[in-house]
Amino acid sequence: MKSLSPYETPYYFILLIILLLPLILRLLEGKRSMWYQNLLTFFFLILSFGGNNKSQGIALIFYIVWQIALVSTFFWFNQKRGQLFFYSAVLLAILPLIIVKVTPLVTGGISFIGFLGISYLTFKSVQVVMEIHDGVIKEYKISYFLQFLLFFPTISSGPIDRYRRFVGDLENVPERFEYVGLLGKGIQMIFLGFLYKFILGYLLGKQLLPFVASAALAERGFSINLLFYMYVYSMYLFFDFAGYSLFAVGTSYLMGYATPVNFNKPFLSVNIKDFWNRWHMSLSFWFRDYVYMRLVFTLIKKKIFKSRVTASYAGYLGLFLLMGAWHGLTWYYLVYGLYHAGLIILTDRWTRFKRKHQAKIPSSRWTKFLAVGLTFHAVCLSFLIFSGFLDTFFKSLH
Amino acid sequence: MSFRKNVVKAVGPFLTALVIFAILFLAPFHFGKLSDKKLTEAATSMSLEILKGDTIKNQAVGNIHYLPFFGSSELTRMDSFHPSVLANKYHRPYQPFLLGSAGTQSLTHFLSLQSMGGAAEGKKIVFILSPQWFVSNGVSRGMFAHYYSPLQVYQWLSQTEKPDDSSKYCAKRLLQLSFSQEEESTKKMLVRIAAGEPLTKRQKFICQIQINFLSREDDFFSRFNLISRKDKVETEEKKLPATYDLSRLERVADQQGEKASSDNDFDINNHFYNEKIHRRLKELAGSQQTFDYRSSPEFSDFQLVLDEIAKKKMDVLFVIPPVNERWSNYTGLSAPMLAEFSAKIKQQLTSQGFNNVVDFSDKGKEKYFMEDTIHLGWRGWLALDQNVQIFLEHENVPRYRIDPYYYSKEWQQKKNG
Repeated sequence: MKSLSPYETPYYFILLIILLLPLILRLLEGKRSMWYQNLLTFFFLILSFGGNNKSQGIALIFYIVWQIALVSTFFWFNQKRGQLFFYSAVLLAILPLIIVKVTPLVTGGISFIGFLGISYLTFKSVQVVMEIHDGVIKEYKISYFLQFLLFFPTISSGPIDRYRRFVGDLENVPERFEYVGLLGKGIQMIFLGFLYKFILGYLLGKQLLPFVASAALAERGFSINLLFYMYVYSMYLFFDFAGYSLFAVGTSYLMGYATPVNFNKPFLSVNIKDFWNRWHMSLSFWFRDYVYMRLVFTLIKKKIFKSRVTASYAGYLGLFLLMGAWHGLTWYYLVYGLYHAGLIILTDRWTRFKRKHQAKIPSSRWTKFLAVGLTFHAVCLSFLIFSGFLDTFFKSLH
Repeated sequence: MSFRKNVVKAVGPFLTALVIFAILFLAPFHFGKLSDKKLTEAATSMSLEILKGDTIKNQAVGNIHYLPFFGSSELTRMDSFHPSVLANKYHRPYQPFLLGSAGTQSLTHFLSLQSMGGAAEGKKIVFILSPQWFVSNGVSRGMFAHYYSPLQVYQWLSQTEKPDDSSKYCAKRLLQLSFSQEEESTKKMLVRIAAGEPLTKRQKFICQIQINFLSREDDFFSRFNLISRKDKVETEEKKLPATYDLSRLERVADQQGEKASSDNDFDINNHFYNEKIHRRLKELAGSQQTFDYRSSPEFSDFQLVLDEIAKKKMDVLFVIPPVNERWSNYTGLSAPMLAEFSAKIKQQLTSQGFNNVVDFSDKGKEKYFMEDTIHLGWRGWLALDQNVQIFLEHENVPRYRIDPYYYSKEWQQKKNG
């Protein structure tokens, strides 16, 4: 049997809508049929991780057992142990992901412990470990944690939900009127997702992109076609991923869970900081809360940097390098990370400069236009690096 | 009450979309016949939608006014002597309906022919086959995929009740050429047919659903505008004398050919020469010495076409175009090999009763017969026109004797007819 990747074929959506129907009807009465939701989760997991993807399914089972053992042990024994215990727990939670990311570099093949969505499950698990350590997660149930990890609408590529928020939705079934609102929004999101992913994303990625790619390569040097490639790829990346995210969030809404959204008009950002508050939001917020904040806090507490500003720049560097490395251990993902760290530090310098010389720097509708335009181009350039096309491009020159 | 209103507001748009979708794609009605104007435009279009679809081409084939021309890239060489231009200029009782484009070969034409159903029964058609189709691997996967019509493949699948030699052969070829976008379920059906087993009930059901859906889609989108070469036909027409006079037309053809191929010594259209040849002239010298069109799976693919023609009792004029001799001398393409190719293909045709064959293969040296290297042009189109007139005048009841031997590897590989 051939497995079915989430949100890719009409067949998947037809199945989804039909099987969600009983759940939706119960929710309209203000009740949630938990056994049915669990059955649905099980079914969709089999659909995506069964059949010819069975090896991935087995990897997923082992992974889940590993994380539950780890997080439960950490929760039960946390109070009595110190920092070392905490750090080892985080490391052990990330370990499978590290192995999956490093294996291709060492052996050239794909690791057998990997599966679709391992990154996103790791983000969730690390988050829970950290919040248990912080003492903000006071109640922990294995069943809730399992529900959180395996929530099928978001399992393959996010958005990355928060444990406490999710448990809130799990425990409190939305009230009928509230649910009707979610239902309407969910349907709207899924249909907007169709437009984004299957019409715009398809036209840009499948029709236009190969065309501009070969045009750019045919020039045997820098040309305007490379610029076209940059724009087309950036738009494709947005519509494809935003479309996917809309499906995931929309499906969550239909099930009565308000999974956070991932995109908020990112190409209208006025600067890079603004951009990261609008682009792949659940990921950038995760990096902000669990990498950046903690790194800066430690750097200041341990007095490694005297100035808070320098510490925050080191934090940005750490955040974006890690994000780049997470995308993959190739030169272009790392450069992508460095480039964004550089941009955000530059933006910070500029904001500070502007604050000091407020009187002399003009601010109007036009400067805002300029800011949006500049940010858009800086971002598109980063996506050109991210696409890996430059790698092909430079190799073609030789 | 207000709760209900909210529910309607939430799911109303979705339900409306479902209803519109169901009406458009599943309800059992057709949008009605296409206008004559639309068909006239479609006749010279050669667009992908027409070739892959059913609505437009089947209506044209069922209409006595249209004479289908099956072929490939030569159909797009529209000078003043192109069949579409001559027919329009001299008010012939027929209009050529062009079915083919660069890269359409036997297998694509077979799928297209079988999808015409009863509309093509007893129809007269012109079929231009190119020696260049018969390369050692036959049609390329990329080209085949480009013209692949899921609708026509489902139609073929659903009509294959008891797989015979031809359907088993076809299924095997489709599997060989199958590409990643093809549905997994289709591949499974092909595997069954290739093994000589009929489709299961469930597979037939899938076919029916798909045909229903795809033909509705085809019917719907056939209403929209398509590329038309009507303007091109009208411009070319103006260059022709008002009345049909063969010797005058031959003079015009020579004049046009001379003028259009002034840049080079090969009598190749200047535009084509500058685009495709000029820069690579040196590397092309002697580059075709090893080309061989005598053994190819295309011979059996072509047999599928013949089989289908026989089933539909169609009356066909086959045309074998030449290769520009000045050019083939330069590239080293073997003349004896070409002669053997045309002998082989003629054997396949005449031994099965396909006797209307125009063999132009010895016309490669005639000036302005070819527009460029391998495509018919001025004089060539004019010569074809003479043959088409004779073909149309004669009513004949074809008697075909289909021989499954032509599906064998032995025939595909056999070099001397």
